[in-house]
Amino acid sequence: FATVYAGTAAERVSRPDRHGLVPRDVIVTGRVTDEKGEPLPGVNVVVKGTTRGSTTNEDGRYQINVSDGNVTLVFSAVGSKRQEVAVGSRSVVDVTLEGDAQSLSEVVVIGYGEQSRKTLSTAITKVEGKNIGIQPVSTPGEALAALAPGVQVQSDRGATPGAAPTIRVRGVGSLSTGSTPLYVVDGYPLQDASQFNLINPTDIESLEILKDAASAAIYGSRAANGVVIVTTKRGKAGKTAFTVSAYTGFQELSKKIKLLNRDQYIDNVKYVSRTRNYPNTPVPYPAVFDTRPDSLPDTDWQDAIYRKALIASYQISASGGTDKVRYAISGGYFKQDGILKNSSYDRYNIRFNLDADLSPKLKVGISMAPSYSAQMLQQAAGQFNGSNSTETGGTRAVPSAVVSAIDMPPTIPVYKPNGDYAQGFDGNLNPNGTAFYQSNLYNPLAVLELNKNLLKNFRIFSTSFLQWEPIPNLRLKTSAGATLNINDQSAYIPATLANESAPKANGTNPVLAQIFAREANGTAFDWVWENTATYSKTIGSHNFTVLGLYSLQKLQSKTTATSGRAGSYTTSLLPNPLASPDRVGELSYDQNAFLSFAGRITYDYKSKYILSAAVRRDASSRFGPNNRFATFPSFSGAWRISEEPFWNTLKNTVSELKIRASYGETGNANIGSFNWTNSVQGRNYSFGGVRQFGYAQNGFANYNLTWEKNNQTDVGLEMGFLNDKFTLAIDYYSRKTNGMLFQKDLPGIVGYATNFRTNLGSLQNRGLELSARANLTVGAVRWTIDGNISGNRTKVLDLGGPSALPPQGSIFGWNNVYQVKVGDPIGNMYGFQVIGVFKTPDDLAKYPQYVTGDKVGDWIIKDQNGDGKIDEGDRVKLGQGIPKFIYGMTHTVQYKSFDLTLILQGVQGSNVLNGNLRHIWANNVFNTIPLYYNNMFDPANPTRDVQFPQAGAGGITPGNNLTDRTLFDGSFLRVRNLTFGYTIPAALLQKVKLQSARLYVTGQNLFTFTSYPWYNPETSISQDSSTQASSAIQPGIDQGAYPAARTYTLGLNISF
Amino acid sequence: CGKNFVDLVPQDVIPVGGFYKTEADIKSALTGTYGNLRGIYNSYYQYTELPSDNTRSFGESEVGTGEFDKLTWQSSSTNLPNGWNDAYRTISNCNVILDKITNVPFSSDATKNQYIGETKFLRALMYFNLVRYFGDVPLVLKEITTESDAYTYTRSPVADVYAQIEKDLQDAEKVLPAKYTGVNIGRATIGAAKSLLGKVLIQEKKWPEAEAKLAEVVNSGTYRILPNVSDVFGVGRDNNDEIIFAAQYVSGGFGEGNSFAHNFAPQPSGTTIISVTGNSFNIGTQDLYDAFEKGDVRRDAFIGVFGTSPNIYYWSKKFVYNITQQNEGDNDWPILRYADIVLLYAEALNNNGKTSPALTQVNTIRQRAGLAPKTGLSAADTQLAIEQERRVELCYEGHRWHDLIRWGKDVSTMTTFKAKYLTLDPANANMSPAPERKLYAIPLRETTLNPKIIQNPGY
Repeated sequence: FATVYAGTAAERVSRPDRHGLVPRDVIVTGRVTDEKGEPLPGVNVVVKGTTRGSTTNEDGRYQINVSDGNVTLVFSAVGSKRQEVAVGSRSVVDVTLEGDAQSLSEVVVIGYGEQSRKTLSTAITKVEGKNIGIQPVSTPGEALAALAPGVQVQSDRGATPGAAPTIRVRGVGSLSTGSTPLYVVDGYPLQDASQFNLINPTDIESLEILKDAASAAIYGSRAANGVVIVTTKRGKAGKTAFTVSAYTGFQELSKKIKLLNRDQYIDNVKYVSRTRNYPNTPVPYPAVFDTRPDSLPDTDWQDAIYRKALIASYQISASGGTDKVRYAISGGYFKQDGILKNSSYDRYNIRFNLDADLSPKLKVGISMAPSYSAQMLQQAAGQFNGSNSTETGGTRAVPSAVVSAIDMPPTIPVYKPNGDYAQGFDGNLNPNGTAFYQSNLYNPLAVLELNKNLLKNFRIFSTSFLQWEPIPNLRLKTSAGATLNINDQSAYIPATLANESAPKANGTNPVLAQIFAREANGTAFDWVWENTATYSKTIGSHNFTVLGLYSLQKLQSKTTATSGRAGSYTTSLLPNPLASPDRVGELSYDQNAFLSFAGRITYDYKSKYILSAAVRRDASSRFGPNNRFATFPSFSGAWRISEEPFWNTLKNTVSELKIRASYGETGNANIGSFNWTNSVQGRNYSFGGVRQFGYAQNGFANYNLTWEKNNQTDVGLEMGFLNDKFTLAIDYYSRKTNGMLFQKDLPGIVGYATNFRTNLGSLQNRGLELSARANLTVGAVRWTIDGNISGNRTKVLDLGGPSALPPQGSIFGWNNVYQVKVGDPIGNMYGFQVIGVFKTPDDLAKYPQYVTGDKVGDWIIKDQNGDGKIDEGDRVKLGQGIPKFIYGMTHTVQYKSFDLTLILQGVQGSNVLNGNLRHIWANNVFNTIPLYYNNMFDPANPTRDVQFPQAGAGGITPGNNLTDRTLFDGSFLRVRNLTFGYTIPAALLQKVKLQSARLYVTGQNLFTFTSYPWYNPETSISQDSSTQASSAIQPGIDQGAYPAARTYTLGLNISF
Repeated sequence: CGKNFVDLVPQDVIPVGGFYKTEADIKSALTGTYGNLRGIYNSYYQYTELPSDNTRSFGESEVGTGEFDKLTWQSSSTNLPNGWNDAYRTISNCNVILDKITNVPFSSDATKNQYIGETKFLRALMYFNLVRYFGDVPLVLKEITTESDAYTYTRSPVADVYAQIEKDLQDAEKVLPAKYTGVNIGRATIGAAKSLLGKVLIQEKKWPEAEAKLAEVVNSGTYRILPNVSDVFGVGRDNNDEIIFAAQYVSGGFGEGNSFAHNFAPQPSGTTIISVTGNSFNIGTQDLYDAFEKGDVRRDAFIGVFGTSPNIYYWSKKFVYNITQQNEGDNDWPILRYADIVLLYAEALNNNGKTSPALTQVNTIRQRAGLAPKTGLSAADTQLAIEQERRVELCYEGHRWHDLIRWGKDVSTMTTFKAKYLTLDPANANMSPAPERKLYAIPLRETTLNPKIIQNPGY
């Protein structure tokens, strides 16, 4: 949206010095039309070298004051090519602006170079920085959603402040290895993908996503899952341009779960009590439920833990320079409070890019980007009584606030009369005086307010280069980059926080011994040194570019931590490990190194026939000593049919027609550093009551461990119609991963390892991607539509022998849900199909029963294999965790000074298993949802049509297995971003010496259309340790993930 | 800059390649092997007590411990693989030591032989657990170093496994010392090897051999029945004269304590019994409580009562001692206790026609319990007396389930139990006693990975 005002750096090239002359104003008028003579409204008209500007009206007319005739006017608008016109002695300047076939004429950043999109023979998607910067999100990754075909962005951790989404390019390339793409920032391949998300989104000039192997292969061993090239904004010669951008607003819980209120809950308790032991003695419940139910509170626990939370971003930048030295500087502050209380993210960024021409042949460039962030984490995912999750990394598990806010009965107040947090066991007692409520159900607000887990990150990212052109067309470039990353984590669980270690801890009952305090500090230093030689030559109509590369990269890191020994605290006066007299230290090291050589040749004949080939040879310490080197070749070609003479007659209609094809091989090294070796690790034992130190062998060595290899073929078609008013690109790809870096199971009898890292099998991803753009002008309205849709299908081709892997669980208690089988896609979810409830003894005779028997009130499960009994053999595929296709659509509309952006994001054809439903089924000591409350078998009313079994049911239940009753369609269509902006007319701004000013309001995640009944269908905790799920082969799990937020902001951009 | 740029080695772990070279290495490897016992005996109750009529689980029904309690475990059950994997982990540690120790120079042959003996004892103990849990099991006796190696193993017949156990224990008893002092207390002794061998022989119903072996323990004079039964268990009473071999735990925030207290304490008790929330995973049954004869001091010494009917929790005083942190229990788990050996000896004697001497042994146990001696019983009644005494004396200790199986009473006892307590504990409706439940299912993972590992019948 930056282009609606004239403040972009491009307009300030070669601004002449002021001469101090008194201006003699003349009025220039004119009309701006397109190539067909249609008027163009909203075109910016600026006097070059000044801050004077104007905008065309709906008839395409403008009027502007200029100092004298010796000036140049700059005309610019979205979808048109910028044009400069010298005024001379004219007072009327009419201009015809050419349509800007942006998508075809733009320059695209490729690995170690740039190329015109016209002569590109590979599949690269470019995303303009303006579409990233416009969105009120904490990380650039989130803003990528829906903007690029074949790129799936899943905000699986909801609105967690500062959390990065999971990004996948063209599917999941591996079964048990990271499938994150390689991020290259200003030429620097990042060792740690999370550093991409530390970049201030508004600093980004463009993102290029290298999707096919031929474009990515120049990054060799790390490119198998695609490459995202980030280019930050750099200065251009001209007067210094200042920009101030700011927005502020709030976020709110996008959807609340409907739970039982007090009276419904009490009613449900009575139902469970009566039926769980049916026909025997009912389970006792507090007498007050019968005598004075209205004396009990009716707490809404969701209201207790969620809030409206602030989000704000402020940035100031300056760019400019002379012909010889150019600079761009920006400083930004981003603040996001979490909708979950006491979670937050604050980030400060500075970026400084400098380019200097030391001589006509010698150039240097320096980029420095320090950043600091502080993230207050709160455990969202996991089980109600605590489980280790991403958020608790390095600290002790505390109860999941998101889950316990669902589970806590409304009859428990938030606070006790004495001011303490009310806990599960505090509530109403059974008639015999024992606790009624689940005793390890803890107050979620207490967790949020008392648990402290602060993660601070300080990073300095820098790259610099020296480029020498010894002879024309030959560029020798050496670049060196370094990243220093310091992580600092402070975790403190006070004596007053009730949790599994101290269930009765509270403000008035501090349990000092349970205090947990840990301070951890990690320092990582990574450096890269790359040397390239590029030679470009044109001989007649033949254009060549040849590239050679030699590169080294090395990471070294160290983490130290100190904590007090459990149980050793005797004071709460010092909230850190120094409060313990008995401290425990931790230390870990990591290192890895990459060594690479590469070459590439690109050739075109009249920009019509295009060929490219590249090869990279890599070595990495991550692989076994026997197998460290590998070579990655690639080839691509394209034919621009529309450049052929025979096309001339069609050129007016089909202005561009290009077909291209590519094949290449890339690698994946997304594993830890020393997977190939094994070790002995400490395991102690006490003899005679005295601890003695011992060691035990651990791990299974594999000295042959090597790269995971990806072979990808891509065929693409690019078309432009009516002088590229409409453009279309279609890609089909087939990607085959061989020798997957697999954490392969070993039989349990091996003993000291249950699995080991090896290369095995193959996996196929095939897909179709379609993207289209239309630049429309309807009267005074200029409307651009970008749409994309892509579908990816995985298929397991080989597992190195076995036809299936052992089944994998999902959440606790729901085992054997996922299984990888040869010939199947990954992400299939298996479970039992429910066909009803045994309502009568007759039904028991009529339908097959669970292997250990059923009774009235149990579920009738479909006997899939027809063997007359229900057991493991009756599991059937119930769903698929990976979407069938994803789509996105971006509308930008401009009318006079008004602009509107709408970004839609869609995901279709995926399932989500709702793990939140497992333990609230048939449980009187938890709150539950109307779905259960209204739909459980009741022996008092056996003929009623119900979906769920009686409380206390045996056989297959929602408690012990995944069934089709707890698996849901996860498809959604989301209004991701809606922005409405108003650009203040230039004429008004001249008086306050501003070049441009724009006000806007944005709504992020305004609406989500979905049938998924929990917080967020996007929640899939794949590749996240917050549940038992640990890998890409277990997609589509929801258990207490941080909910999504709806965000409203008000923003202002000013240039001067 | 060449190939050596990428020749990096880890800086934070001890590579296997340089280990197992010195006496100190072997000693610490053996300590590490003992270290596995902590985890194994933390959950031993699931395999050995919960399925029986002695204890029940109030945990999440049908998942985890509930499946052991209700005899509804399947090959896919969550906790089942632990019984398999933990034993084989320890066996692999033993095998590596036995493979490497021969080439390691030792200052004294006695120490070297003692280490070999201890290692063989631990390996035998693990195979004894495995063979009782799963029946035929792969007999792995050396380190598996390649993946293909692992797939050469199939299930060896029970007889072969027992033969190996006997051999390991016979080797061990030749080299192990009778007693240790100081910081060696708790290592396997000659008494431990003989006691385990005797217990193994009983389970094999090799009565004469068992009688002979157990007699060696009883006559050794090394162990005694403590006068006060309350002195046998609990914090501060570890490694007393009645303990032959135990899994050793230590508290203090090292992650080396036990989880008995919070697993076995009643959940609704809040913090009245222990300072953290209990899980009710292993709670005595009404049937166990009622099994104590009138006047038996052991009932109140072994069992705590919490709650009122119908929700009474008979919690184990043998294992539940106050803790302030989860998994920080300090008390040991007796694996071989002299009272068990005495009763096994009685069982052997009785089966060898020596009824009166058998009753004499039983009476040493009854006497401590404050009960009158039993005399003049028939062989069959003596057997019943032994069964009764074993049940109450050894309750919660992980003997009951495999005793019932040995006596051929697993199905009948549990069928009666299920019917009798259906009203009190309606969840028993899901209980599924069946002959095939003598053996656990082989974990689904193992049969999936290696189709040559054939599943037990009934699963």
